[in-house]
Amino acid sequence: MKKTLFTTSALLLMLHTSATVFAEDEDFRKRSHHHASDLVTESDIQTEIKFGRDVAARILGKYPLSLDSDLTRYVNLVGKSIAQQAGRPELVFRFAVLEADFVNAYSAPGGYVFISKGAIKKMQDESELAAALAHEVAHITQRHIVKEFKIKGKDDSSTSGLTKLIGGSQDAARVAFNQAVDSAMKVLFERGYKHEDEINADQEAILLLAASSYDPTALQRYLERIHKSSKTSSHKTHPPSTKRVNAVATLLREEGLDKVKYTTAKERFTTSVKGKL
Amino acid sequence: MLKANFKSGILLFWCLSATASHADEYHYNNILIGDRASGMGGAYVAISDDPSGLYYNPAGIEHAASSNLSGSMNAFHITNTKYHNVLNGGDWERSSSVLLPNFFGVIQPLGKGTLGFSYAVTDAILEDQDQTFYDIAQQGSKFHINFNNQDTTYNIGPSYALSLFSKKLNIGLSVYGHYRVKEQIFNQLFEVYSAADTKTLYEWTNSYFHSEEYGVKPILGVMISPFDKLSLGATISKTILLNASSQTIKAKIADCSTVTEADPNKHVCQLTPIERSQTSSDYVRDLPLNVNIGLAYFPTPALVISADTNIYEPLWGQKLPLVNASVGAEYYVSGGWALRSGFFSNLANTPVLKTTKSSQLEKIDFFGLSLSVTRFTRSTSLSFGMTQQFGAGKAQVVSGSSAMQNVSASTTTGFLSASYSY
Repeated sequence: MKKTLFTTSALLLMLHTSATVFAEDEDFRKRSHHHASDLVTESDIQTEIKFGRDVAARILGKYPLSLDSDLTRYVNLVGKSIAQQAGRPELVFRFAVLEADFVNAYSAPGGYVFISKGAIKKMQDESELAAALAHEVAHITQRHIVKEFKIKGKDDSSTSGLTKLIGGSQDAARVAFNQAVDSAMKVLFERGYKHEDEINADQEAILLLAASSYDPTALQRYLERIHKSSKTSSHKTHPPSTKRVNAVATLLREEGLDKVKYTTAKERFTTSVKGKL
Repeated sequence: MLKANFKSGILLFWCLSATASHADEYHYNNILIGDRASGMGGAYVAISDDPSGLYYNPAGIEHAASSNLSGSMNAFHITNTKYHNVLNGGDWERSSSVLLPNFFGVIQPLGKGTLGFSYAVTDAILEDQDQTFYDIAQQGSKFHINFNNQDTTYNIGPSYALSLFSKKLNIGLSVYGHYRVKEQIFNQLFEVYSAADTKTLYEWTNSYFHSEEYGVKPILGVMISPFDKLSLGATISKTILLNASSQTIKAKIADCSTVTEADPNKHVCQLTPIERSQTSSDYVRDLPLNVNIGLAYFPTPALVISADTNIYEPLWGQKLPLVNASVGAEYYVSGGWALRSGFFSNLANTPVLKTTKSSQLEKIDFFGLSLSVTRFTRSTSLSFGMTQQFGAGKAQVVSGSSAMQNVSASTTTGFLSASYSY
């Protein structure tokens, strides 16, 4: 009995101690072969695209696609100008508008970006549209979903073949792929991206805006506006806007982009979306 | 006198099978589980970041490098135990070899944590022995034994682990169903020529033992990283047996008259049953509480060093707990190859034998070494390795006698395992 009490106490002590003292970085657990497998291969890219296509199909099953070809073309022109600066030339970026009144935008791995009509309605110029699209493009270029669910391509080495023979894992891989698609949908529509991924996407979006000669403060303006709006639904899947706005403002100052006067293309935006929302 | 020797000889070996158990409620580390853990001598409580972690410390699976992982291991397990000077200077040697699916485990994310399911064979023996002792009762006598022993313990069940404080603190629980099945068949034939009776006398004894145990084994684990590159893990577990049953059947037949016919190798025996017994039991053993504490240091991505201490509640009326220890290391020669090695103890939980007593439990303490090599690809790993244990101790295999035998023993386990991330 005494021994039981002793051991239980020891465990409780460990738990208590652990609540106050922690290591700063858990990456020390990564082993050499994990680092080796972090290199992205052609097979990884193809799997990412296939994965994104499955997620995109699910998004379109959830919300109807806008059939307005002019609006879609306009959004694609803005989006592709951003994507050209994104550093993922192996991907073909596709942009589409969803027939939905809520304020949100989605991206799926492999280059698929969706924005709702409700989100466009809240915008005042083209740079804000570019900002929203750039944020989604950044999720793709930074491979946030791919990294979170560890989406990888096939391993066709002879050792892998032998391992599969012993472990019998072919069907398991297929099941896991489908489960990852389900999980990605939960990220997009329920849980949201990880906080650090959202902040990272904002940071990347600002740089993409500047690189594309759009007003880099557009994201800040847009976030402030939807933050003030009481009817927005984007909070469900994004961090609190105040936090995001503060982080964006800090980055603009740090990068010296808060005083830059690049184009907002307000007139073109007004002309392109007028009567289409 | 001859008949007295004859009967005492039978009596001695009649009790041999019941006393000298080979597998093995006397040890806790007979078979190591999982490829990486086995290669590191079982020092894995503070690592446990793959499916075999479900068995060593379920809290660790939250650190798995891939969301979905499966691992399996097949092992060829050989044991050899030699009891020295059992009767008339003769040694009794027992050996076992068994090929078994040692482990299978799979983990995947579920909700806010990680779900796992695993199967482990924690101990297995398959003995099939045929041995003859000569000149035990008198010159020319023969004692044949034929022994078959199967004893396997299975653990199977789910696990769940959660991370708190951004993976700085993990907790996990595995709930294994425990099943052990044991079956022994022991045939003994004693053959001696009686000059008084001018014939060869035979006595044949046979015993059959079968037992099964059902229970549950919860393993509660915790893992923390108090400092950079350092991981601490701890588990507490106990196998709680819910049901057990056993049956023993013994038969002894003797008074065989030999009639020599034209063919000298052909005998006609008139056998008379002289003893038969059948007993059953539902005795449920109380298994010890187990606390494991581990420490792992990750100085570089190519090297990890770990050490575990395994503490078990004392059994058999002893006052001090049993403590086993293990140390292990893993070194990556490159991103595609890793070498592992470890040392570990596998001490007997039985008391030290006393010279004044008889029919005491054997005490054989083992020390082991493990080695393995693993080949990695981007999503798979394939390991080959072996563990070797050497043991020495004392036993009293002859019931009713206070004579002690020196025992030397060894076990060898070769394993081939595969893991797959997807």
